[in-house]
Amino acid sequence: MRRLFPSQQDNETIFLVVREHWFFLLLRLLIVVFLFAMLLAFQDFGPGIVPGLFQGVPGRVVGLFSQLYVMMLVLGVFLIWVFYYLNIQIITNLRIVDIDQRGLFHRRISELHIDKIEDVTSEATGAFATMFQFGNVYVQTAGTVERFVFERVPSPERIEKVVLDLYERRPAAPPAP
Amino acid sequence: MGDASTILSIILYGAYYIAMGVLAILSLFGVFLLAAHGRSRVLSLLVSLVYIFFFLTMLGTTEAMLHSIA
Repeated sequence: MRRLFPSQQDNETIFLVVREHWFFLLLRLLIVVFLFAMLLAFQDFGPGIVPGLFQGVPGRVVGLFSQLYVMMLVLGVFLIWVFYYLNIQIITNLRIVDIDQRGLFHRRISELHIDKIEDVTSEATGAFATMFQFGNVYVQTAGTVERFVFERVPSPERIEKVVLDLYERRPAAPPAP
Repeated sequence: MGDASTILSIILYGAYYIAMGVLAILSLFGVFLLAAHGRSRVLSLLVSLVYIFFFLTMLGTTEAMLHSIA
């Protein structure tokens, strides 16, 4: 069995795997599309404005750097997807796991046990959030100031309900000696 | 004239190989990251292969453009 996170136990049931809403992936991809359109505009209008730059050796140098620029954009698309794909939050019957891939060399995994939950709040703010149904879910834990946050996730109300249901169904703690 | 073209060649080759080195290292780390932590091995492999195909194809054409200049 391939484990989703390093400390996953054999008897652990995964209820939900959550990623950032696709809207934010689309936004990042649109930035790349815009940068690509800038290159096309440069190649389209450039010869009319600076004709010398697009002829002979300078023209070929511009072509070479344009090609490098496109390669960087392709790498950008690849890395945007990798970060989108690897940033996940997992809700199991025992805990909530947040896997945060912040950069190529920065990965953080935080866990929160279901029985430590005190309060769950979901919020969707703004027109796009309401239209595309995304928002944040805050999980307040006992004894800690910091909240566990699911940022820009789809259907925050559903996630809130799943967490609360799991909290209600958590195994009873053994009696104190 | 010969000196100017030599200097241009050095600048172009230098800039090209630095840029390619950075691109290749970042690409490799991206692919390794996917292989190490990707949930679905098939999807990770597929995306990596498509990306590597694009990267190598563009590398070939860029290299040809560089040689036609310097």
